[in-house]
Amino acid sequence: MSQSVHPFLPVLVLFLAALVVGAAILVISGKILPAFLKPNHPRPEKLTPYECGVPPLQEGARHRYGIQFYLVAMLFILFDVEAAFLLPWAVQYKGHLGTFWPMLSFFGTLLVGYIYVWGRGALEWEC
Amino acid sequence: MPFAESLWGNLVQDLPLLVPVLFLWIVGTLMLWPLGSWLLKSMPKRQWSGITFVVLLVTLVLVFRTPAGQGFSGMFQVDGLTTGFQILAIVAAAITVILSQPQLNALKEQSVEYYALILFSTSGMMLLVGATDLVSLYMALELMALCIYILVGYLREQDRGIEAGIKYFLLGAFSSGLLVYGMSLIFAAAGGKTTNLAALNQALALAPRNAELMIFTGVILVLAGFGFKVAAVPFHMWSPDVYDGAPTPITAFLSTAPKAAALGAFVRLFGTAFNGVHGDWAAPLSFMAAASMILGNIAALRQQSMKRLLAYSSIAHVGYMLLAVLSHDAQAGAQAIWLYMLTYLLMQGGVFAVIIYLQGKGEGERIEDFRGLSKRRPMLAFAMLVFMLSLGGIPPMLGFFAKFYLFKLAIEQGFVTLTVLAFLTSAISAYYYLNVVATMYFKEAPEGEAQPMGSGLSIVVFATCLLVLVGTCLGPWLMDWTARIVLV
Repeated sequence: MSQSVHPFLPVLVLFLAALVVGAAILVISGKILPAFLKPNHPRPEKLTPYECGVPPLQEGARHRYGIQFYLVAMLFILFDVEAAFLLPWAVQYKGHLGTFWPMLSFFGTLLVGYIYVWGRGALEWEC
Repeated sequence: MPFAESLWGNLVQDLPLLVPVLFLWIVGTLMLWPLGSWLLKSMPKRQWSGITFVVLLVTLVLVFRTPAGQGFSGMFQVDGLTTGFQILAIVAAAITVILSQPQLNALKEQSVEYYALILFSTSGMMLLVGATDLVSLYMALELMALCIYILVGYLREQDRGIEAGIKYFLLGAFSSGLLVYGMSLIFAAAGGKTTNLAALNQALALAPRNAELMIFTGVILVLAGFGFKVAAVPFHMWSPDVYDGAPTPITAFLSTAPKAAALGAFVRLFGTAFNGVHGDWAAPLSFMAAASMILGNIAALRQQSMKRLLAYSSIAHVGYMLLAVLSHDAQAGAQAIWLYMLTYLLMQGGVFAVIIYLQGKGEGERIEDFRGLSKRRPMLAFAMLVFMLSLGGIPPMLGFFAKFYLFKLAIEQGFVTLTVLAFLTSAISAYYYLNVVATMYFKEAPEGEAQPMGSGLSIVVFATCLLVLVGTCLGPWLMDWTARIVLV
């Protein structure tokens, strides 16, 4: 009986069902029900994006940021990953040199990178 | 904890395999700091290309002295294929470094980082061709690609440079995603126990029947990822724009070194790990090869820009080389690709040296700029003639022997239709190569002063021209000789 049915057929059926059910929920709860239930009194103030009660400086989030933000974010991720890597090692560390020296060389590499970044002035906030 | 102890012991034991790569890493890092930042601040920046060139020569010597062997828990292997393709990557990087010096001087864009990134990228290629594990393969590929993303967008004051950098980065990152997704599917289909290439081949042979679809999807995704890296149709869209916008020496680098390294890894991956599932990838790869040959050559016919012409011709050349990847015999395929890539690298290096000479200040890379070159600079025009004939594969030239070797292999492996197609499209390619020659010899020169030629540029032009001519004379012996170099 099951020879003729492809083993992944149930997955396909489930996928299609998920699509249909998901779309139905979205349409019913997002478009059809609100048309009957939700009061609708738009004012210009209500339609502006919320910015802590301050009038918004610029429409939307698609305006340009200074390049320094990206640089700092990138450097943060770099050294953050280092910390994330360090933590499990530190928890498991039992005083064996076999894991100590590789970790130290990893640190040394990052240290050189850090000094380089510092030396090139990437940590200065120039405008 | 015996595991940790043995880890360290094995690491020390296996380090000799990585000596050239480690050397590049250490020197590259030292160039950034402290040499580049503090110690040698008073030194003129244009000296860096000379230093980098010497570093690459030392690395070449170290590559020759590296013993064959396998190490790092089966992650890295030094054999004929590794050594051969490492040599290609280093030679391509060395040519790029010499070409960069006059170009960056003219643009006033010299910096230590540029040369350090070339070194890091080269080290990634050297790891890539020796990688015998999906994980180390992917890591090396990323190391190679990340450095090149930055180098492509190096001229950040020019809009075209930024466009090229962004395009290459987005598409490259996307294709890496496809690649790693394909690898994960294959890893799962093979039982989720190993990522080693040789072990994967055995595991895939034992995979249950209902995993066939998963293996097929994985192999196709990996194929697509590699297709992006080597710019084979239908994954070639980035190539002309990126070649056009990148600094010209980097275009020369891009069209040779990463392609050589990626093709080396391509042969190793598909020849060992996916050898057993040859049926899954033979047809898609044949399609990619045929489409690359046809589209690359036909699109090149109408190009006005020399760099775009070379981009499309490079797509076509990759199409020919994919014939060798297709072969059932990985070793013969690697040899054919190695010989082809070596000759291609020499010719591309020479052609780009001529373009950089004509570019002067970063302007004028159109085919029209070659008008009357035979009157203005007869030797240069002759060298260009040699490169163009050789790229077109006109019989007495070196490029012909490389093509002959490749097509002979393809015929022996039984890909007759594809080889006939390769012959026909290669006849089409003669048109646009000879068009450049005709422009140089039969059109009137524009008014203007001839600029003095940088010493580095003339060395590259004449050295590569000489090598191509010597190779032409020694063609048949050369083929026998190279057949013994790259042994998997």
